Amino acid sequence: MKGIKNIFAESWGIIGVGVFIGILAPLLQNWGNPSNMGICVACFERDIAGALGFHRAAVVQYIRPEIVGFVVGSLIAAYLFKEFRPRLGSAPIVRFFLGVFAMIGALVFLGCPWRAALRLAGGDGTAIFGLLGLITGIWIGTLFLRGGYNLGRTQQTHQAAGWMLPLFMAALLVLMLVFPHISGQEKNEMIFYSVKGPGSMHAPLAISLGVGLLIGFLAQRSRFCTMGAFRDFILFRQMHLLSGFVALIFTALVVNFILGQFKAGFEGQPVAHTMHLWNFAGMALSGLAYCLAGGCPGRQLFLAGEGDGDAAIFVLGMIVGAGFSHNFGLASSPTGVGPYGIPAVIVGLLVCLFIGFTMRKSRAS
Amino acid sequence: MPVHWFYHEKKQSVINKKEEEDMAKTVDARGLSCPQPVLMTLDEIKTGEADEIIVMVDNDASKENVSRAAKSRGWKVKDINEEGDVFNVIIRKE
Repeated sequence: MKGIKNIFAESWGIIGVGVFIGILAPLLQNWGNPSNMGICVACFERDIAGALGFHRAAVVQYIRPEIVGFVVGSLIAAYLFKEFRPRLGSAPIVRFFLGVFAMIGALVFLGCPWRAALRLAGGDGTAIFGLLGLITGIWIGTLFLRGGYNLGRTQQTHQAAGWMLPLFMAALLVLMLVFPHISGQEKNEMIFYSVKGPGSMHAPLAISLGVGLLIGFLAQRSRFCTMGAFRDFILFRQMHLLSGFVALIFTALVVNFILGQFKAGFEGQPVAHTMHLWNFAGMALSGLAYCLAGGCPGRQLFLAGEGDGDAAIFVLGMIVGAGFSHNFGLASSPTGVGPYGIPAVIVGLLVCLFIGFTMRKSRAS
Repeated sequence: MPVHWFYHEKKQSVINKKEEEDMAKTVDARGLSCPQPVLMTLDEIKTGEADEIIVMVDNDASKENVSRAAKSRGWKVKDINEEGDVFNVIIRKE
């Protein structure tokens, strides 16, 4: 299939993928996922961390099959189109901590950029502050990029090395199938489940997995990236990826109206709080971390699926970051930011600035 | 840079005398992911030193992004050839 022109790399391709996600994400809510959280890569990775017991927030524990599907769907697309290129070695430890702080910021806002879009499309006005923060963080990241920020070159590696994260994801799915939820119980012999709260709300496993695989496949082909959307516009005035992100928001808005899921306002929005400054600052931290790491949380999963070991490290960083967030009281709840959320955002911004200022290379090298 | 040298040699046999006077610059963006290859390409375009640039990348997303960025600056993608795991994206000023 290598010879086939990649139609998803064209303008209508990326818009089509945005529309597709914009239809499926609100539908997932209709099928059981939490409100304005049809797909949220940060929240879902946080739920996975909870299911594995890396944190003990009882309301957010579930191995989300969508995340498994994203990685495996991307892997399938990459193999079919001969784009599976196992590679790693571009400052993995830095990417790990960027993942940690990206998650900490995301859980102060309560969502990744995908969820920010879905919150907005569901009428949640507080998402506006998150999106403005995201854009601000990415803008700061572009200043570093212009100044020569660069984590260095990757190296090719063994095919099997590129399989590590997809295999981990497959293992999670196997765990879930072997140890299914026992009704009313928070834990079976192996993994945790939520009996109430967002972690208990999910579409049927087969649907979640199927949608995840489809989106993973299409996003690998189209290079869909919500961070790249703003980064490329700021850096190059290029609308390509942004058109996909905007298409997602408008489509989800229409679908939410049709499904009766649209509820405009700032107060009482599902899994959201009204501390606007910290909605902004949390997402600014995330946006900066995504920009320094070269992709939004979704894109990191898709890259990991096509063999990028550094993206896989970022994903693991996010999962660990979810543990930190909930164990140390950094994550927000609908009542507001956690007790240590504000200092965590400040520390995260300082760490990202440190990375941005110190990791420059002459572009020629 | 051996690959550049090799490519340039190969090119000599097919280009005409006038083009021979233009130096094709090479941007080595192997192992880098976006936006670096695009930034490096645009930097090279901005120097105005070459009418033709060979951008070496090793992943499909970078290949597409470099092509798109070149087109947006009024350059033409003359050819993309694949040598092993490396794509040589040859862009030319219109």
